[in-house]
Amino acid sequence: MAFESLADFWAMNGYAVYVWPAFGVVLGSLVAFALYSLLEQRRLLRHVAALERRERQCPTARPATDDGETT
Amino acid sequence: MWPIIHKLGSPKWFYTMSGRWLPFLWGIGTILVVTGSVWGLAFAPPDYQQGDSFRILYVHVPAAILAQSCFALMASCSLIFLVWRIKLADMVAGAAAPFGAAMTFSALFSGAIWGVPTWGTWWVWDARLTSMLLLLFLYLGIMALRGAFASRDGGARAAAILSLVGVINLPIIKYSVVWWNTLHQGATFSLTEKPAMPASMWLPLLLMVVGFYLLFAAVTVARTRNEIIRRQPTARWVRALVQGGRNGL
Repeated sequence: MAFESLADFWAMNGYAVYVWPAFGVVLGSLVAFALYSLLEQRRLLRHVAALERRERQCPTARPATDDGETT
Repeated sequence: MWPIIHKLGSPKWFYTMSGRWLPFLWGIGTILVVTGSVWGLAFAPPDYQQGDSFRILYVHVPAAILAQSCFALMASCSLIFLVWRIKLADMVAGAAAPFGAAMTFSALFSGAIWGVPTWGTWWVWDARLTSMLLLLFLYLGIMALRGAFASRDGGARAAAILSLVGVINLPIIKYSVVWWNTLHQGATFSLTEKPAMPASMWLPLLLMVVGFYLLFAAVTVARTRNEIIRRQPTARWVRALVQGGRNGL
């Protein structure tokens, strides 16, 4: 380790106010994109399942198509 | 030739293939970024002039590289979309834009923080900083333009055209430190020369850059997959996907 103690590490030898926010924003945005895309996928797949359930209960409402393209 | 392009442009084929790759992109990307962060923060030796503030390099440089690579990908996909009308290319371009904007903001933000102890100022209107700020506005403009049209195709075409026009900014960013007398330093690394720092300093940076690229690929693929489902929620193969319980995480 490049630091004498753990306290020195957290303090970054006086540069803590610069180093930690920079890492926080950059790595935080990576985590935010990862979480958001996974949550969005779950939401979309639930939506597809709900569409399918609704159609099974009311078959004439909105039939499945080959490409399913909506405009 | 044409059957291959047709297959590559098929959302169903893309969804199936990318589902196999995605866990590895997330996994290896995360491992590299976590390892690179711990190494860069705790084990790399401090800079002899900047002390420990130089550690911002380990997030600033990958964010700046990704900001530009993301734009290059977006512009390539825009060209493919405009010329061959492949919708999947437009979906990839749309999926990549917000991540590129976030990386551009990250590079500007971490650079501003870094500037305070090293330059004595968080902002100067030098060519490198200004051209990066322009890149951020281009990203925001492209994203806004995509949503500003009543028809999806109109928005996609307008965004694609602005992406292609905006490419001119990429060489300006790269050579800004050469063409103008900037406060920002020149390139730290090049593919043809030996790095000017010891391996204990540049190895963690290499891990970070590769890790950021893998996570960029993972985010873009995941967001493209979401867009495919959003556009075709009633396609039979999407139905089969949900019914089979194969979510393809």
